[in-house]
Amino acid sequence: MSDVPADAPLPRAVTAPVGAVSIPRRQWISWLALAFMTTGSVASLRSAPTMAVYGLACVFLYVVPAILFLLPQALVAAELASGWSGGVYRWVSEGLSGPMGLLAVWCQFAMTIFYYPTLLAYVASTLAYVIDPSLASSGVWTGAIIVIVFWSGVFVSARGMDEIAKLASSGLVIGTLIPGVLLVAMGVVYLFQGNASSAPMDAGHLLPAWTGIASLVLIVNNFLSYSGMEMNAVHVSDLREPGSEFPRAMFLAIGLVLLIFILPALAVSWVVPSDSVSLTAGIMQAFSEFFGHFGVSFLVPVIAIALVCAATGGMLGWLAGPSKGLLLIGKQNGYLPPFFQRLNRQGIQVNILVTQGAVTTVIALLYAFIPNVSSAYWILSVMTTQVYLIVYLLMFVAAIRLRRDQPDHPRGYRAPMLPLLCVVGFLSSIAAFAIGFVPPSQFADGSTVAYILLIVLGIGLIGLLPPLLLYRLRRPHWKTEEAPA
Amino acid sequence: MRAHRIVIVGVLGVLLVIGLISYGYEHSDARADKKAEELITKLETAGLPAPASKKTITRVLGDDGGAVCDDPGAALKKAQLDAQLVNGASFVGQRPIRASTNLIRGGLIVLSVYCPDRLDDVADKIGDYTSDATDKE
Repeated sequence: MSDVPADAPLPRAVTAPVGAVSIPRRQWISWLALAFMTTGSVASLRSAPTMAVYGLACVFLYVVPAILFLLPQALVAAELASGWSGGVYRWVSEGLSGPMGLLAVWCQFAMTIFYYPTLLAYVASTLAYVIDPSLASSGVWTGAIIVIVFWSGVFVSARGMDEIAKLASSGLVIGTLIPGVLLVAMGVVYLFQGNASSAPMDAGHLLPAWTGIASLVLIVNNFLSYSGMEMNAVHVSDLREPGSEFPRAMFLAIGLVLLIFILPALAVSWVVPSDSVSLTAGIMQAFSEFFGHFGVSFLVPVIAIALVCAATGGMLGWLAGPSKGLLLIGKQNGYLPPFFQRLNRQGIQVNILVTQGAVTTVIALLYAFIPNVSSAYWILSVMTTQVYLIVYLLMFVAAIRLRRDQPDHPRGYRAPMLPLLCVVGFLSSIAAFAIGFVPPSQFADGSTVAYILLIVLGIGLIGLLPPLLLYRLRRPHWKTEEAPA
Repeated sequence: MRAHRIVIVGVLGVLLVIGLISYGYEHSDARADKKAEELITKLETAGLPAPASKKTITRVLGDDGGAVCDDPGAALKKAQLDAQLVNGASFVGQRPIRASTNLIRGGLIVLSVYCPDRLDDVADKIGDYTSDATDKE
């Protein structure tokens, strides 16, 4: 699968001569495809039933984090991507240092490894819901779906960026946009038929109930709903006009993400009294109740397949992005052995993907077959989101330094009030990081100190130790490419 | 269209057809109606909102709870449940939160009506979850 060293020059056009099959072909993607990839990597209908519980307050729970975290993150990423190719590793390397760049891209990469099993277990349970609900508790079914879908994703990812962009965009359209419009339209029809909304829609319910720390946890943790807006910036050099097209893609993605998060959640809250939905059957139960009200239960399998499309489309974006960032910093700084730097004919870092796949497969099988692992897996999502927040902390600091130290570096887009955006984004990331140490419901009545120590240990093992080892073990001859000027 | 795209479309099409055929469409009957009435009564007694119509409940839960009562205490089901007590993220930002008390209570009430024999199994696992009144009634 790997036949080309990464230091082979990438031609700027699809001009590989006949027979020169070992030269990666240049593949462009459109700004619209990048906007769809970004949207599909961040938002789907999966969260609609979860947030419908809060009724009208879900608007507040999405809009406030959008102002405090989404806008800073997206606008800062738009400026940085319009000036420097390569994504977060490059921005942090230029703004802070190479080792910090490695830390940033590793944190972005590592957390996905632990995320895939939960994402694909959700795919397995969603399929089980409409095929045979008893499969949802089967380790064989869950393990098989995780492994098959994940490796199919790796196979597709290895076909090239153009293919990834097309399939990820299709996943968003088929899996989220079309069913989302359907859900909202049906919700509006429900209200126009004279039915009372299941969740009160008056001004008194615009704000969530204030219960102290639990409400704070809810609001601040929702900052993380927008995690990943910057991830696809690693593909900026695949755009024909990166300086102008990336910001355009980012602005469209911001609008789509907000619409996808808010409107379907409201529609579900109008029709389904969320407290009457049993959690044991998964989110599909809420959609069943939604369509059951209209007597169109045949749409339940349709929405299930749509959710599967959206989840796998989003996965493709996550497979392609962070691994490419890791490759770029690996070859420009000599942090990765040559084995991991090799590309296939389509210019994809296939050895990184395959190694990541092997690790993910082991974790997924542990998840599927060992009850203690699946029961406690939620704690890994706390650790990995904490690790991801390190990326944002580094990105905001790097952005300020780049504006200060390289003010004349050409940028296709300059974010307004960038220092303020960075301060707000940095403080929001710190707040989310701090809230990550508050034990959630699942921790029940355990020791808070033990919980904090466990999370700290996880951050160290997942986020800090591997990049430290990569940095210490680096070799000068592993550096196969100069960083772009 | 490339071969692998045809395969993807084909697999999704087959899954859709299987889903449309095998999905457990629930129907109303006297027993399902009685269960739905019992659920509405229990939810209202607990101060929780109930679905607007009895028919909606019977279409989803039938007379045996459908998917809700299918081994709800299994480890993978608990993991699935944990994955719903999260923030509003759809992808990598998903993180557990302090769940709504009403959400947990409502879920247990559904089990108590449709599969009371399974209730203890689930309550043992989530009954001691810390929760708060984070949703307004």
